[in-house]
Amino acid sequence: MNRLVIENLSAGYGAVAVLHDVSLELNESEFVALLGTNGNGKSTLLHAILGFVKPTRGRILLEWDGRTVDLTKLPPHRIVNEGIALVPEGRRLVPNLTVEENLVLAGSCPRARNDLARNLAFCYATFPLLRERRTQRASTMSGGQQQLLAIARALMTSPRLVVIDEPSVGLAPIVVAQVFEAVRALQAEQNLTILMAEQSFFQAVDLAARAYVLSHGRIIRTIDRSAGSIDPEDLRRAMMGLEAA
Amino acid sequence: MFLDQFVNAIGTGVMLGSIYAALALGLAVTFGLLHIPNIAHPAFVVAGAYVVAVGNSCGFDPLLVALVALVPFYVAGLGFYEFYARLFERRGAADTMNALTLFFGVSLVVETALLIKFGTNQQSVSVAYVGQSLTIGLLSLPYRLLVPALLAPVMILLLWLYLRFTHAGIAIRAVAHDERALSVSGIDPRWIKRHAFGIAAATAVVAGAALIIIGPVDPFGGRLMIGRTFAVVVLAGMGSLPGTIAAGILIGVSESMVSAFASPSWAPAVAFSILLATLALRPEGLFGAHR
Repeated sequence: MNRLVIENLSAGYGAVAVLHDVSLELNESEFVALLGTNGNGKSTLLHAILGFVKPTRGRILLEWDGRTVDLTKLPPHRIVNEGIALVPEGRRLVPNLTVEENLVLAGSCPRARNDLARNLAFCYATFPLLRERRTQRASTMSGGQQQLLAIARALMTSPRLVVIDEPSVGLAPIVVAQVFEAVRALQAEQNLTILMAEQSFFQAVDLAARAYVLSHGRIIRTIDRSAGSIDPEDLRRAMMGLEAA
Repeated sequence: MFLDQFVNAIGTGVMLGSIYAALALGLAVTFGLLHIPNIAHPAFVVAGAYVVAVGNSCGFDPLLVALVALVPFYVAGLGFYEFYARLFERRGAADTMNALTLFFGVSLVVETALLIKFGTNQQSVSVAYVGQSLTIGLLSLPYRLLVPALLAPVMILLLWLYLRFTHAGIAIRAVAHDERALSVSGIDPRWIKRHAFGIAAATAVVAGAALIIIGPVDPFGGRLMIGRTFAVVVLAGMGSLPGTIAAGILIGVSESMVSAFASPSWAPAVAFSILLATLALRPEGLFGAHR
């Protein structure tokens, strides 16, 4: 089975330990949410998956097409070329490049180079707005448009799974709804595998089949919607760290 | 008489300015796009001039020698960047002061290497067209300036097209803004910076050919160019390649006007006066993007 497995991961910045013994897994075509309020380690976990943070312990294994790769041994650009795309918090587009140049830049990575034309056509078909604005500089677009561009850029790398870091940050609620709808549609239509970190957890948990709740760098709860309905009050208390893990 | 002098001062200034742009082009890439102040670039240019002189003494045309030497200079550029990156960038210690110090050292090493191999004697090339001039009405354009002056627009156009339309070119324009955005795009930012540094070094041998066609070159010739090349890059606006030719010509024409109508000894002050005046009014340079 194709999946991403995180085993007993600990990571941090210098002397500051952020993640403690985190284990989780993500199966092909699954939409999993990573919930938690600010400062509980969501971004650190995603950055560890992408290789921007080197873990102090544990492994991150990509088991795909019968091959197993330990991502903790690879630099970020190699991880992207293993098929893991990141939609970073704050989007991190290249401000001085046009919309199309941002897309082509990602599409020209070794993994996706041969599919560049097809990927670009797919992104433009999925987000017609980007086609209209393809000669516009990324920095001149609104936050919501930039977020869609960041998602499209991730798709340009022909990803096996897409990691999305807090897509709602800095966006107006109505725009957040549009971005979430775009993610949902992509997941439903393309069977994308998605791991999304979010703090606006009710919206996120609506989209996801499963969710992990991260508190003080530990996974304190796993929510599986197929196992029954979720008690919102219970989820809220867990997110706020109001109960013992 | 006055008109004659005026027209020729303009002509000489434009040609000189174009040559300044050729000298500064590599720096426009390393400093303007990668933000690495490669103070050794003029020394690379002088090394390029020596390579061209050696090739010419074997009977080859200077421009042909420069074309062939593009490859070794590119490779040497990769090496210098790798050296710099291993010393500083990968330890998170890359800053302007470290880069300046390192490349100042590199320029001394290059000068000393040339000194040991060739001595203090000036090197020159002999080509058929040196000494002849193209005359258009009052304007007289000596080929020893005209031929080098034509190299800059050609190089700048080729490099501009490369940056504009190739995948590697887009990545080079992106890397200075956000290395992490490049990683997220699945492209190794170190590879791209190394590649760009290699290209910058390769332009040095063409600029070297330009330099030595104009006149004899000695191992320390690069030192005189440091200020002017940085002035051209900053005046153009960091990262603007077409800007370098405009900035070069602005400086070249002003210098040659001052030389012709005031005194040649004032000419070197001109580059910096223009630079200061421009930066006071447009801090981003003539063609730089607002930041």
